[in-house]
Amino acid sequence: MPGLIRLSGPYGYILSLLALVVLFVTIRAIRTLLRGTGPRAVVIRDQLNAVLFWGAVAGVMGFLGQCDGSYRALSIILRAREISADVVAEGFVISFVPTLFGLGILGFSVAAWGCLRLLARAPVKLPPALPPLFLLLLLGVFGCSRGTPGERPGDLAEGVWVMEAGPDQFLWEFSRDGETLGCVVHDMVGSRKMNETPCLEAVADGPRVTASMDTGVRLEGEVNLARGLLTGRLLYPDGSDMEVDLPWHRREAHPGFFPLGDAEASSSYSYSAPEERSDGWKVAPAAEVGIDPKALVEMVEGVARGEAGVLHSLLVARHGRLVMEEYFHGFGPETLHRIASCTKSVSSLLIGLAIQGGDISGPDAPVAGFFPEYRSALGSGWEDLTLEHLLTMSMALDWSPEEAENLHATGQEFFRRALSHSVSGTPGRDWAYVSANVNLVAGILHRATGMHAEAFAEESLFHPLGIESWNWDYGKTEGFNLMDGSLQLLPRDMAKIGQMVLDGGRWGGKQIVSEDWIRISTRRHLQAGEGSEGYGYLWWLMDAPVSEGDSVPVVFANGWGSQFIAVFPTLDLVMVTTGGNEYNGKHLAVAQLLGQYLLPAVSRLRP
Amino acid sequence: MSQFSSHLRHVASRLPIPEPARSRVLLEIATDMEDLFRHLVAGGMEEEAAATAVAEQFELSDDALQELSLIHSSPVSRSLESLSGQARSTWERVILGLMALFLIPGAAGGLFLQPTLYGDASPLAFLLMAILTLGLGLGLWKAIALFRPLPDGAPVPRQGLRTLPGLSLLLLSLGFAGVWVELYRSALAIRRAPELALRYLVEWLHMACATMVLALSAALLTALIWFFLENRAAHLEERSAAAILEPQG
Repeated sequence: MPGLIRLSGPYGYILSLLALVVLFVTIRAIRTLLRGTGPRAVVIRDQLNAVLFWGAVAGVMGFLGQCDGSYRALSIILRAREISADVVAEGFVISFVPTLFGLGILGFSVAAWGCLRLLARAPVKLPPALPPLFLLLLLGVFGCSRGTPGERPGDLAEGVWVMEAGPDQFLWEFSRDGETLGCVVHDMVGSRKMNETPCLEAVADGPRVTASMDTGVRLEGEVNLARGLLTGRLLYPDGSDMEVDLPWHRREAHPGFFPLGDAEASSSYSYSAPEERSDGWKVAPAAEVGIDPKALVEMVEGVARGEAGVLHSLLVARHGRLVMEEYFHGFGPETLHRIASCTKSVSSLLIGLAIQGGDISGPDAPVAGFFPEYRSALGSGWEDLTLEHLLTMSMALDWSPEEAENLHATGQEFFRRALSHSVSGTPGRDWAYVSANVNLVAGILHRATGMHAEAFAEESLFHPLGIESWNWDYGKTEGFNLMDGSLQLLPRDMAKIGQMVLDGGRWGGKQIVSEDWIRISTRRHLQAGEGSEGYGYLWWLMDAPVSEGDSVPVVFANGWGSQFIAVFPTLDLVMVTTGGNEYNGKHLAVAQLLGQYLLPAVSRLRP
Repeated sequence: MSQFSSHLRHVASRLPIPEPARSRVLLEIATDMEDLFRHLVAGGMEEEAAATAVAEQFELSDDALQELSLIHSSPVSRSLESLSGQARSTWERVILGLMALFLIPGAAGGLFLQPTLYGDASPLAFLLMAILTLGLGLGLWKAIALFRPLPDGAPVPRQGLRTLPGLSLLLLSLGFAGVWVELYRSALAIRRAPELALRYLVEWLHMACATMVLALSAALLTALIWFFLENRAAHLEERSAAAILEPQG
């Protein structure tokens, strides 16, 4: 019964009230009948008619409820680009609930009226409309039993359900692929899609939906198609929960949901050269630098199809000229983007600049020497640790695996804590990707130059490169910047850094970073883990596959979520991407896109 | 109170029709008797003789009463009176009132305030709204007439009251007509582009639901207004009939 009322929407309450009224007037008629007092015939006739009257009112209200509920549901369904017959059918099954509820009350009242008429020994004369009404009632009951939600194909959950959380909107998208119900949570901020997280598991049983995330968060809810709501609870791993009402939205209501702003935009994409701006970049059409624009179009179409996951920008420069600048998912040229661990490669450049300026003697400078105040707190083995060990991720300190992965901190307390760790392996040989170590660079630069990293970068790197917009505030502590991954830059400025590295430290005809430092810092010093990638001074190196059996060397800054500054020296090519592939396992998907479309088109032109 | 009250009570006890038609027939007979009485007195007859003559004139046989009853209770009248005779107790009327005032608009959740509803419905929606407006206007006019104090002996102003259920029926009929006309148009569209059949059908259902929400709600509202006004008229008639049946003196 509570389910019946809930599924009937607001009409459920009206119909419940009418059911009570019918029950009451029926009991009243029975009591009058049993008492056998008063002007019996008139009273009985009036009271029996009242049973029928209120039953009819319930029938009419039930029908109105169905029309109202169906109208609302269909309004939502029609806003979807594609109409699923399953969803329409499922919606109608539910929309019939108030009608069946009303007809049930009417059926009861008719039955009660007939029985009481017999009891009153009054001649039973069926109204002509009664047989069809009974037939309708039987059909309704039959239809209800055949159409119980959950027994029919299709998922009411299919679509996008929106949860507001501060500036973020989390779009829970359910879609079915064959037997599997997929669920992806899209994080939108304004018109921009930041990232997406697939659910571990999603199950739909009629209107009931559950979805689990790998973080342990679980959504349990029920779809009310008539109200366009997914109502339920979010259950957190710590046992707490929160009631949520997620309204249904059109995907199209969020332009940033689709890579190119529209589900069908990819078919109409046409290549055009980037816009000329006064930021130092020279622009050119792709054909002028020996890149087939068709390859670029195919690459963008691949992005639009989601082959690179969530990509926010894709820039290509060749022979020193920017030939492609495309933005996706609501991002644009003026939007600063976190570059994540690409910040480490910027840190490498800053160390090079400090060495170039004579503030640091060289990569063999002992790290502990920059922190004399913590001499007493030093762990063992620090006397042998040099800047080169830090820059090549081979300090071999005894960080716990959790600290190594998750500790993103800076400031005096962090420096003291880092220096208190001891060497547990062979520095210079044991490579381990520990972001925390890189944050010591903030202290080193401050000690060596007297400036915090941001101010030093502004003066020695950003200003010479014409970089005017950046943000490095996140995680800043006591003026010390996070050096392992909190810098935000414009994609065009990221490309400038790549072009400068490609050109041996030169930009706009000026030597910004010494050619020696560029050469030494982008040279393969160690193998990075078990893979084939090499590691320089906070730069990655690998051979990018182009076609079967062929590859080209690439030096790249690598930030979580598909933030890349990739330099292809043999192709005289720079490519930059920013993205939101942090949680969908597609961090490296863009590499496949490059290998499939761009690199073959360029490498064919190699002399 | 009427000088013919004892005669009228005798007639009332033999009238084979339920309230409120019974009161209405009695009031009509009473008016006719008074008119004849005044006519005879004006013609020079003594009042006592005139009263006796009138009573004799209106000594109706059972057959005559049956005929009179039939005149006042056509099948339509009987159905409407049977319907309006429901929900006589206060609590039942309160529930109906609540449904009219709060529940229907409440359940519709502001749907009627959304211009999209009218755009989504059949073009007949505007005709439906025009008829509803007419019904509301008529209801207001009749409400003023029925709740204003009536002069003694004046008939209850029923003219136009039966138009309201007629309008209600018209609203429902137009709603269904709109739905079926649009279905025909959708069928034509599907014949032109069968690949879009599902979309056309869903669009038709959407329009049909919007139209029926409007038509049904408007019809219910009009019917409820009639229900309350009809009951008010019946109440006035029963009160007048009771007054004329009171014994003189």
